[in-house]
Amino acid sequence: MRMRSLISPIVALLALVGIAHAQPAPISITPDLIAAAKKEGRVAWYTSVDVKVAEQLAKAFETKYPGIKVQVERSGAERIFQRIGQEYSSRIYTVDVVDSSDAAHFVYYKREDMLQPVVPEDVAKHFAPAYKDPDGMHAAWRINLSVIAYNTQQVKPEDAPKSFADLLDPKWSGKIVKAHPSYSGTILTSTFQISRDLGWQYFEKLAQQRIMQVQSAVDPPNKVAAGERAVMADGNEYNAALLRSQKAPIEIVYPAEGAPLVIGPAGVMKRAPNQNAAKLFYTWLFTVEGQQMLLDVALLRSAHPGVKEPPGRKPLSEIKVMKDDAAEVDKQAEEIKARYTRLFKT
Amino acid sequence: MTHLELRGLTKRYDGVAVVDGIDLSVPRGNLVCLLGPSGCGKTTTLRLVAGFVAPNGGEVRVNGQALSSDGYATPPEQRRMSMIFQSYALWPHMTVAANVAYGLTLRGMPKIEAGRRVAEMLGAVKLGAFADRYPGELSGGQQQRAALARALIVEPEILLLDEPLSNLDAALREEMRFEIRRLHDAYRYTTVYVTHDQAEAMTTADLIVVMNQGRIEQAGSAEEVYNRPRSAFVAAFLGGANILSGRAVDAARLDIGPAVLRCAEPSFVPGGEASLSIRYHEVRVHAEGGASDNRLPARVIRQTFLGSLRDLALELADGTMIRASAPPDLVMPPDARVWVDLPSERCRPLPS
Amino acid sequence: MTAETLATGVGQRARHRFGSADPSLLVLAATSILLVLLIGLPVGWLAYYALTDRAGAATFGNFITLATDPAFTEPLATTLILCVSVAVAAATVASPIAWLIARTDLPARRTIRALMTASFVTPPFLGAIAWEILAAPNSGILNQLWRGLTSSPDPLLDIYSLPGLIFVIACYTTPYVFVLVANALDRIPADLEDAAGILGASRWRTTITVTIPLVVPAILAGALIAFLQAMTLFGSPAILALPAGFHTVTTKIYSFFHFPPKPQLAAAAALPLLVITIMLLVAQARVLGRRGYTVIGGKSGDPRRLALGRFRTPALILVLCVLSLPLMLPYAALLKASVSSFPGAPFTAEHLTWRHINFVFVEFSQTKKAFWNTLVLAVGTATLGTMLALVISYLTARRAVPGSRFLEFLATAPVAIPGIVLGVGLFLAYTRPPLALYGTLWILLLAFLTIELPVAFQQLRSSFHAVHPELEEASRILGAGRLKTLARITAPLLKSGVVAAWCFIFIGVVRELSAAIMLFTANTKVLSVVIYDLNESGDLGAIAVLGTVMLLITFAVVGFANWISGVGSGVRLRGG
Repeated sequence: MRMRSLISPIVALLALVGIAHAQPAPISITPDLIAAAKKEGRVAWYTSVDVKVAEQLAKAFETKYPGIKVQVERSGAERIFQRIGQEYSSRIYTVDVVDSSDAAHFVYYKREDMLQPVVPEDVAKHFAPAYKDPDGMHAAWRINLSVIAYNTQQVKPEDAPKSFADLLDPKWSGKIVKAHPSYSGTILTSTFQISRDLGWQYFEKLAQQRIMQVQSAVDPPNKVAAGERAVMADGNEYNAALLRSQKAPIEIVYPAEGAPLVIGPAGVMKRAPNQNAAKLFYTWLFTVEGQQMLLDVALLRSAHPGVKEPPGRKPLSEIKVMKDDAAEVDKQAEEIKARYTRLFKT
Repeated sequence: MTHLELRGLTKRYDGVAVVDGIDLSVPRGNLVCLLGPSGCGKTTTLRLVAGFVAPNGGEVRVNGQALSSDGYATPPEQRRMSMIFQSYALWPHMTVAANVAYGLTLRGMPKIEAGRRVAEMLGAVKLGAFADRYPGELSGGQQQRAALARALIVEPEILLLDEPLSNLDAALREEMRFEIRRLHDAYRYTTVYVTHDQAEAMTTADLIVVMNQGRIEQAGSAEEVYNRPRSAFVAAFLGGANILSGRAVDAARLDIGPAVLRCAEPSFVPGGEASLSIRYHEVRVHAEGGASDNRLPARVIRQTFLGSLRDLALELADGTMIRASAPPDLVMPPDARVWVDLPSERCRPLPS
Repeated sequence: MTAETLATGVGQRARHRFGSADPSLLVLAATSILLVLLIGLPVGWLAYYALTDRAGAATFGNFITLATDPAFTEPLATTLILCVSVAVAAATVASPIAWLIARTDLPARRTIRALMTASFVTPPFLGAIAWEILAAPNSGILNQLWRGLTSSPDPLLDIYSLPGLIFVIACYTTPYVFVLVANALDRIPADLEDAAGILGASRWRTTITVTIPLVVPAILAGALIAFLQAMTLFGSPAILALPAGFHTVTTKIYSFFHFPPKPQLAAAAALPLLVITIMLLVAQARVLGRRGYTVIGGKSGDPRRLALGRFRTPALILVLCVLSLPLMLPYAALLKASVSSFPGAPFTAEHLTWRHINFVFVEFSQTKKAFWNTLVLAVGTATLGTMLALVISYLTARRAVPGSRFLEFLATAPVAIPGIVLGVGLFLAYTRPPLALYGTLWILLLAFLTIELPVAFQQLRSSFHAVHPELEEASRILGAGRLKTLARITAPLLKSGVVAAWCFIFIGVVRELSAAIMLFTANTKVLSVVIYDLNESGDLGAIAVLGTVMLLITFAVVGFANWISGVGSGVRLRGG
């Protein structure tokens, strides 16, 4: 008994330390942080979000915190990943804050000890556990879906594909555009989820449809809106929605099998050259203001319960989505790319 | 006083000697002419002296100091020489004055002083009015003068000229020969002059060096090499000469086949193979014969009227060809039978 | 004179002992060593990687892997088809135009020459993007017009195809052949043609039997350059081949760098390209070496111009049609795209927008930096590269150091190495001490220097033949060393060649994508990479704006360079 009474406070203490280690104290935007960030004056943000969205977010941040310049480095998620690897292997540390449409990248970054724990107040308070790393290394900055879409001038709504299976109909041969998992994290994730849920036979058949192959998940909505192809087999929901809001002839279809769910985490690099600006920018990205901008400007989706859905949009809760599994994508990434390349010859 | 000295100077390309053991001393202030046909090695010798080429053997010495030796050459820019090129090598992007001033600028001469000297030098070569012209705007002779001015103004240790007149027409060439000699007499730089034109050599040179196949055939004054050629090559190359070969009967007589010729100067080794030379203009041609020394029958093969003389090609009884320069009024139809006179005092034995 | 000229020619090969009293020789030797390092380091690392496995053990496994994998052999076969087609197409189109310009009384010859040069300035990747706007099978402007006119459901053109790619690459390699052939035609002395004329040949017959055969070497050389360009280009295939569903060797090599990177395979994949290039260069030397007509020279005089008569106007129209393919149509497309809400939008007021222009100049944070980096690199590379090429062409033309043939080979070698492979080599070479240059502009400078050196070197070396060695010797005997002579006599005499080399490098750097894409970092982005990134996400409007501005700047700089070089030279070059 005595032993037990002795041990329990130690266990409790250890447990406390353990929790404290796992969940670092949430940080909020304090005048001290702002001042320290202003001293650094800049923050380098490597992102795979649409370049116009990224630039608008940067502008908003710069307006709010004058004197801190956001350097936007936008490229496809896989290329950003490759770039950071290339830079870090040469001991070039320019990146402060990174996000990716491929959650598997954060599995890798975390494993390689490239991140530092930063938990913005909003994440700690409002984000569901599924949308944040238990060790505080990253959190779901944006949520995106890979969807089907069609050109409304070329396809009547009743003829439009309703599911992935519909895309295999010979009538779509030569009329489909799709992005590439070697370039786009969104597509890598969606390729994984589809192959898991529908099997590789789906892609084997899709490869027979004379598809037009583009690189980024941003591009298929552009190609559909421009009328270059009638249908997209995958691509960003938000780009399609943005184009639709600009009156482009494009309509989104949430596939019956479920839309691949693409969680886009963000994190702060351990070797960030601008530590304070990085934390400030990162924390701001997760505030209601920052998250609301994702919805308002980009028509992306957010894990923050405090944001207001844009009017007339189908909320996430009403859409059938596929299950996210970043750890498995991390394991299979190479295999998926190789297999895809063999099938689609690109 | 020897100024420039070549000692056993040799240059081989791919094992073939282009310059083959040249020995030569040039006294200070002399103008030496390297004379010879194309490919005799005279230009290579000049380039060895200039330092553009390093020798495979031997030395180039100036004032007793070796500037080139086996495999080594002090670069040309450190030799304090200057050179006039066959193409003149005037820089087309500079005016005449700038061309001439170039060497002075390199020597760090102040602008004003250099300008004065350039004006002076251009005056000396009669180009004063052309200072601001570009080379492309000058005639050939004027370009030649500009090249001379550019070379002379730096007061070179040694002046080198590489076939400087070969691009000029005949009349201008003759004028420039005298001009070069005049300027040499005025400045008295030690000069090496390369040419294949004997008239140029004779007009300009203090010392003529006849070269053949990379070697010196003979060196001497114009009179020496002309009047006493030491080889058939020299005799033939300078002024043109008939070379007649045969067996020496005695010290003064040579049996050439159709006749036995007598030389005024007995120097043959009796019984040995030997030859003699006689210049074209020293051969007399007569319509009728008469037995006398060194007079033999011949047949006219070809005759050419050249204004001041008539060039005849004649065939001796055994088929030997002889050329003669006859007075222009002597008309000899082809195939005519004639007599040729080879005066014994003009028949010069050649060293064997 | 032959034997003696030969002897003096050989005389320039004379070896100098190092350590002699000539300081210029030290600088020249240092340049040679620099060149050896510049080329040798990246190539050496490539060779090392090609012959080792991931653990660093020696192996031929990389080559075996590639040779047995259809995912590599198919792109290789595609690349060969592409290169041959481009070479044939470029030569077939450029040669007659060159002849029309140089040898006939075609109207507006000067303008057409200038326009040809303009198409040379256009980066091939920009051309490819412009042709996407024009000839994408469904949204392409030309195809929309076609459908409107014929109500045919099928597109007229499909740019996303191998023929489409061949077409676009040929569009931008044609100027190389054109320039070479036109210059060769300019240089054919009239007396060679007169000689045929005096023998009773008609003008046409003379053209066919004398003029054309004399420029065959130039046509071959041009076709070779077109071939090599097609083989090493990255941007155009990356933009057009991927949507069409095939790879070329360069895009395949790039894909070896997808995570996890396989630099060993990328290095090994470069080998077939190198082998092909060397075989072609050797073949060219054989063909040209046998006939001694590199000496198109002698007395030039005005070239004979053939009167086209009633074919004059049709010929002009034909030439303008050809020129519209690399120039008028793409530029019109870019201009339209830069102010249209989307590229294929009808050209009406409601679709006119400032959005793209505003985005590029106001919102897009990379514009300024990319322009600045590109300009700094282009000017820096052009200046350094011209100096380097000048010294190297001096060394080789005058055989000033031992082993100058080897230097010649080195300075030409980068032609054979695709930019993307060279980028890999440079990355491998300059990411470790003592030369950890990755992340700086220096590594891009080195890359561009290496890539552009052959063009500048060839340009200057051919100019050197026009400068009589005696002009340099005259300077040296008066007391100027080799370097001073090079600076004060040779360089000014080569001025047009020097300016041309500078412009070639400048344009080349602005156009360069393939090495840059391997070597850029956030702070060292250049325009071509920014445009490539924008294309990846389909932002054609922004690309159109950036591309147009980029071209205007290129034209301005090239025009300025030519103007500067023309200023104050009242020199009438008539040759000594």
